[in-house]
Amino acid sequence: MAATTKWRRINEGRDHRWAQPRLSAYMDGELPGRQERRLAAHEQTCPECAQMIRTLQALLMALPALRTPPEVGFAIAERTVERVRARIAEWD
Amino acid sequence: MRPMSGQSEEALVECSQAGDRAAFEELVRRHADRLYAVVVRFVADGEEAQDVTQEAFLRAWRSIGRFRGQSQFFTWLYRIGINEAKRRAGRRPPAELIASLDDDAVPEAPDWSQAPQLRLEQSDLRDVLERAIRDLPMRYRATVILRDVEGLSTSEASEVMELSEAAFKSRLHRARLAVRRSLDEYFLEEKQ
Repeated sequence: MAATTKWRRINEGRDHRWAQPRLSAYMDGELPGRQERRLAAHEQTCPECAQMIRTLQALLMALPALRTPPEVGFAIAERTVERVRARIAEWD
Repeated sequence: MRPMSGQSEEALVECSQAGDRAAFEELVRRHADRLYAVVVRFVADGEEAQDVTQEAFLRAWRSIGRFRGQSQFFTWLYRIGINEAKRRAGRRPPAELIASLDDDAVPEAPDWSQAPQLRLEQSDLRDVLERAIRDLPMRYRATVILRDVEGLSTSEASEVMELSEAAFKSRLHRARLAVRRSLDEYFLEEKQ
């Protein structure tokens, strides 16, 4: 019984070290099928990785909100067109 | 409607290569805002970002004859813009604070994945995220900006950075962990 528990701990530790650098690719859906299944199984048994995945997912949901709003982007584009047009005209 | 606005990107590039300025202006109009949004996180302020954006397009105009279409126009353009932004940023003394890229979790950090502040209506959290990105070393910063803020695919973003996809993914993961760590610290402070 003690030996089984010991082996389970060793396997969990090995899985944990294996999972850590793959968490981003897992969330991006970019892991090969077998690795994805292994990581999904690990997520079920490792609270640390499960929390890491939840918070990284939340971060990925939040980051696109930093994009420039369309109305600001439009003004930037028009200003850039004018400046680039003027500079190119100077060269001719 | 502008005469060039309905043209495909490939057609605009071809016309630009033939010296058609109106076609090139349409490319500027389509990509300037996104390019600005990327470079603004490398330079001092919005005015410098506007200069870098303009300079990137001028360089693109001068060398568009050499663009072979093996990559998409915007990935080529982003590369020019990021290189120019890095070149300018390199002239300034290094920032005092560069984020740690060590993987250790913040001890006792709460699980903030459901925190209402993440909707970013609160500007202080937006500031925390912007600062966390700016504190990343430059070669890590672009990964998060291109992939997670601007929404490029891994393939597109790795092409911009001239990295293999595997190298890009590794850098992206470390950058995400560093930004996440900043949020750990922010929410830990909130809790205390």
